Amino acid sequence: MNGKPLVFLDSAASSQKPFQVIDAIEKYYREENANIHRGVYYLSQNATELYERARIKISDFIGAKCAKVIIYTRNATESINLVAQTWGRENIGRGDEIVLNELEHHSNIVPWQMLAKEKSAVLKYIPLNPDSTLNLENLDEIITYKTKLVVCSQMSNATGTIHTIKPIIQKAHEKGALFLLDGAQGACHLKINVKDLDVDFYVFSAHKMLGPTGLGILYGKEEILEKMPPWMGGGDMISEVHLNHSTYAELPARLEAGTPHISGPIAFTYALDYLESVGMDAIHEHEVDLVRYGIEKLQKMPGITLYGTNDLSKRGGIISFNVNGVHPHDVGSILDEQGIAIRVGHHCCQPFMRKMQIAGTCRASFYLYNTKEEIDALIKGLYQVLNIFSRVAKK
Amino acid sequence: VSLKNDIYNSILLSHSSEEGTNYGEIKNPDYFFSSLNRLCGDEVEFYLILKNNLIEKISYKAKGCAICKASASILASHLHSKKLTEAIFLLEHFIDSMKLENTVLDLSNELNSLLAIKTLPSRIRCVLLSWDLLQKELKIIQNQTKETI
Repeated sequence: MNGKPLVFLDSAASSQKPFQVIDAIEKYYREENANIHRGVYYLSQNATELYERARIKISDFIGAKCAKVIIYTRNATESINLVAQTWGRENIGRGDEIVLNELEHHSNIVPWQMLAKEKSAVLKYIPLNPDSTLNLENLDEIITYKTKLVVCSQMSNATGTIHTIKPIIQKAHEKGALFLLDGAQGACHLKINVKDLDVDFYVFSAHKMLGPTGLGILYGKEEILEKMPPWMGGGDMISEVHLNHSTYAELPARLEAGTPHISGPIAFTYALDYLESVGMDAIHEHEVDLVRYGIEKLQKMPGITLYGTNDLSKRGGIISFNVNGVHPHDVGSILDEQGIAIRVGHHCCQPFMRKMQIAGTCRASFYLYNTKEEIDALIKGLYQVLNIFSRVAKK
Repeated sequence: VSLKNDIYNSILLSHSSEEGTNYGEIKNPDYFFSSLNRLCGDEVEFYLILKNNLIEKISYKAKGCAICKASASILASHLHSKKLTEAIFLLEHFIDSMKLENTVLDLSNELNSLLAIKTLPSRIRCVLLSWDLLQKELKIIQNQTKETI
């Protein structure tokens, strides 16, 4: 990149893909391509088989009890919108409360704002501690019998904080509310078991965990999904269509209208195999190791502000920081010249940035393939930033 | 690519400091304009004193990245004591140069160092925040003065 070896530290935005995944996509289009669910010929039946087998693989990966509670969407954002537009419209009414928190990604705020506006419902936010962990002190006042839904990300994409969700899930259920866990930054880094977590909905994206873009997953408890009305109308989601009315298919087809991204789930199974062969615990351990190493190095540098908790047991593979007096976009451009890709800006968390009174942060995010040498390159690049900007300061 | 390596050069960096000649507010300006890029928080303000269609005094304040701040400073220095028509001509041609393949104007070193940012597509908007604002506002002033004539 720019004549330098690429140092890719932006996997929290989207991960790189292994050969196995790329080959699977190519193989599908070269040798297996056909539409699913309708053909009586071999290719169609085979594509259907691969596509549905992927659903079983995904349900096993997250510890769901069966494949039909795995709904394919375009991305985690669409999964959240699906819940808002189907379950939400049926179950949220005037004065009902939805509980979020101040560190959520826009994709787990805006769909609920839209729903709340439509239904005259109320949004409440769990506040943050200064180290960007959730402040659960007043949970009793925030989650009440008016609460119908509590949503939370498993890990913050802005600070890498892994939220303490257990007491929130318990409180939500105690008050009769459902709990949606946004695993966009969770499923890729942490071992997941949706039954043990006892979440009602779980959403995540394939492209952040070695898989292709264009595939999101919605998991829901079977009894909840069964009662959800269809979302988009069209082919595949119907049982019978008459001129004046239709009946709808069983799960999961009822929530999946039209020809889907067939190669997506097929290729995603290879990503999951890859992750499993390395082991999710080993991946998390490796990332925390990189974060520990990176934080130690950054703390020794002059003029760096770090964000997020110092408690590494509550952190995933993200370091969010600023170079004092230098705008994150300038840091990003100077690092880019050196082949180092980090993310700069508000990371789709404007409410959090406003609270911290900053325009944004620089974010280095790690995955199983990143190394300490790459962190060394980042540190070297940041010294270059300091060097360039100290020239101004000296004038 | 050769341009890219020297984007944060001494010209740009010296203009991004807040000690430039045109930095600050003008008391009782004839005109005040401001613009904000909500996506990144870059914000510029311009203060103008206009006499007989001549920009007699111009100053700016800028918050945000070095490129945005340098661009505002370089723009202010280039508009100082220009006629309104000359100012609009420069604004239009520089904005075109930023957006098009080939530059048409012989530009000063300072403008060339801004133009080099073309190689960073994601940063072009940081340069143009000030230029787009003044092009829009000066054209409005020009149209108003035409009407009063």
